[in-house]
Amino acid sequence: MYHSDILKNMAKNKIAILSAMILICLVIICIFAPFLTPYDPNKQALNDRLLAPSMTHLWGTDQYGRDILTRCIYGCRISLSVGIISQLIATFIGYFLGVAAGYFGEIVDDIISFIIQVFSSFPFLLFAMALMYALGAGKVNLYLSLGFLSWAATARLIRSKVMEIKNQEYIQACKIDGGSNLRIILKHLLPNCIPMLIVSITLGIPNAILSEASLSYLGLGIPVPTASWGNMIAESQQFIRSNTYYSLFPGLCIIVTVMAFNMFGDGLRDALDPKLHSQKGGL
Amino acid sequence: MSTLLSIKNLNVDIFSEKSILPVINNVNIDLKEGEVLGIVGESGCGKSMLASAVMGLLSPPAKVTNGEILFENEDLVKLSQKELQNIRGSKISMIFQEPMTSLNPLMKCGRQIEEVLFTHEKLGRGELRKKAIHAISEVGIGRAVDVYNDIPSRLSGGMRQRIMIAMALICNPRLLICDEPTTALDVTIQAQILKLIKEIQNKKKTSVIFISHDMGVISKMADRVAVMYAGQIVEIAGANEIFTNPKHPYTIGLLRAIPDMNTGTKALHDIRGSVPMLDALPNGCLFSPRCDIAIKKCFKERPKLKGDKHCTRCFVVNDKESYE
Amino acid sequence: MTKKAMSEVLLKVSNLKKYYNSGSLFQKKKTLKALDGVSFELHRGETLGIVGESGCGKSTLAKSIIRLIEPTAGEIILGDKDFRKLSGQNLKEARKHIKMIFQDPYSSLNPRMTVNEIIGEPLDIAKAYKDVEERNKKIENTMETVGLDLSWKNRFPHEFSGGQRQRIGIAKAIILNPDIVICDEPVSALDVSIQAKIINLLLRLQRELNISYIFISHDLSVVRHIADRVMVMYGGKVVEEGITEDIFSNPKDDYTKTLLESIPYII
Repeated sequence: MYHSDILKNMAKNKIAILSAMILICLVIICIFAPFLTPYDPNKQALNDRLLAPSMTHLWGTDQYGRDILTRCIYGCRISLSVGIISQLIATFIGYFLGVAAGYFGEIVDDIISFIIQVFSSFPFLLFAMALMYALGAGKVNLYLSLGFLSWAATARLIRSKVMEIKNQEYIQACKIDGGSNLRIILKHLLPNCIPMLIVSITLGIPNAILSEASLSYLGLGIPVPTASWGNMIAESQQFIRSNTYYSLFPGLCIIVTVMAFNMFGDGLRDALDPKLHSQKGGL
Repeated sequence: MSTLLSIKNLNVDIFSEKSILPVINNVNIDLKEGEVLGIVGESGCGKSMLASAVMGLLSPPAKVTNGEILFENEDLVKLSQKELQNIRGSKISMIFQEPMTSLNPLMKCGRQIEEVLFTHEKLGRGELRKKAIHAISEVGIGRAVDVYNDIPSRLSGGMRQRIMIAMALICNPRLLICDEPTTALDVTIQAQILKLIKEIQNKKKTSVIFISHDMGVISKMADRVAVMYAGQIVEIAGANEIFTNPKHPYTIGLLRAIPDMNTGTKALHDIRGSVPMLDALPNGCLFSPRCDIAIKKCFKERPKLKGDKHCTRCFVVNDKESYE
Repeated sequence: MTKKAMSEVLLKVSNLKKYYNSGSLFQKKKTLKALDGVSFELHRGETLGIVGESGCGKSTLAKSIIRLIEPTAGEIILGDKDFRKLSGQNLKEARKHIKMIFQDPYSSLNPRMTVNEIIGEPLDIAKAYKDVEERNKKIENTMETVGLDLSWKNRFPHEFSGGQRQRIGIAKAIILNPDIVICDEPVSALDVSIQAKIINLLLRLQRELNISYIFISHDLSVVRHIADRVMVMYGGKVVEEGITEDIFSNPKDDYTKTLLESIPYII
């Protein structure tokens, strides 16, 4: 359960390594997007409408003559930022509510557990649609609403972990020294929860990306003309028979990214899982 | 008395990714019928591994790499798992430290005892019940029928250990292995359980291998004592002999490290350094880095276990004796 | 002993009680008396051994004294203050004087903190230093006192053996120079030869720093070796208390007698 062990375990998992490489590539592509493509994602060129893939437009163009590859690259920026930022928000809320429930117990636990129950019994997409409708489409609103809706799973995980470690003697020792609750939460509980938080972020991102795509598809996420994989698929719908590649490429982008995050997250979880560790140990 | 169990040149290694760890290193033991052999040593010395080897319970990565374990002139190392299963529970049984992990917490005690019996003797329902209740009363439980119908999770630690003993003895085994059977128990309960094992052993003339880290417990139970250190037996002798006249510096150190009832608030003797890691064993005698009487030879060569009745694995002790 | 009896009383516990109520809404209420009126005094520089079997209340007593659990009733006079009535800054101040060493050297150290952070934590909480230099100096001094190599400062607990971990726990307990250290089964998880080293260390620290110990153990021979006075507990009550030699050579209570007869002496 220490950094070198984690890296060693990860290195054994070929699929996780491949996923990690894909993710790194995606991040690099997002950062250097303007240098990677000569086209502007939003500039219309009506002469070049609905071109098939060719050397000048590798993935073809859409009904306004915009380069699809360029739009997919810029869409990647949206997807990754929505995924990461919304999950950071969710993890932040989830950690503190989970810790509060697990550490203080009693009435605090009852209330927070109830809220967790409520949040996990919502139909997620329906609630996200309602929230986005109320807030209005837009990037920041997406971060906030997806983050606000997906903390419950993290909170539940953290709550049970904290309940497990709060009775460890080193926590008691800290109390004996007069350590405050805040100190215990930040200095003792947080470092022990970090591996879990990393896994829950990594496994939460693909869900957020899918939700963003769905919301944008429905016109409630990223407003056109800004490129997002979801609204690209929505726009491509009417050309799906004549220009299949138009909807194919953004769809492929979603699948590859979501799968890479999921597999990387799985690999990370296996590498961090202490139970697997103890089974492997001798004696 | 004839020899019941004879362990010859036994080596057990653990195969890890990086190296091969010798957990049991050339162990030789003869156990006579009706004898109680105590095995004492600190954690990691290989005493529990030895018990698992005799029971045929070693699982990968641990493996017997050399030697034989002769039980009634049959080599247990060569037997198949199926043949071992026939011997386990009927001719050799074992009592563990934590009875809760070896008992099913939600199954009636009586049924669990019957199950062991049934795998070795196909008896009728009524016969099984009679024998199980008899076995429960034999381990000093007054309300045998009540306990027969009770589940282990409702019993106290001492009671559970009694049920374990009843289970281990139901088929009248010839060899009983006790692996730290009282370590998890309170001292008054421990005294009762030790007395019980001793009584049953006397009555049934069972041979016992009694493993413990507690010298006091060993001295109460054993006829002969083997002291283990880092996978080797460093000294083996009659119980009286080893406690009154210990020879190996490790045995002497261990005995002096125990708070003596008469010393008062003086500093205790301790053995410097710590037990070597199995992947970094010293070249010479395994105890040499911690030994106060080590000579040059001790750091170069590994000594052999020498002696007639009182065997010691130490150059200094053995040399001195050969002069005398 | 007479000298010690004359010396200053550091801790006075009187009539300490801890009751647990069990039974839900529809069941008959049951009260478990984990501590049922325990009283004792602890003098400066002495060791009070507390013995008894599991469930006798000795661990509950330790936790109640140090206020890890809130007793139901009773008084704990620490120095001249009622420890149970303290709060806020006063409580923090009082906590500097009473520390604890735990049984399990594995769960008592945070696996994700370095030795330096672990030993320094009481200093951080008590803000007992002016600058980083002073903090380091104190940590290093304490590490030397308990026999830890200074080069181990930045290692994590899993790199140490049980005995060394217990030394880290002891260093942490004594770094603020407490008057009282409660030792809750500090050696029962250790091998005999390591146990001897830790007992010797505790005895040396007591001589050098004039600490009082409350030494809880189920191992009577260890208690006999280390304690000046012994208190035998059974079912939440003190059944016998006295000078160690008297208790061991001439026990009055029946339970104490049974307990002493049960010890497996060598030969």
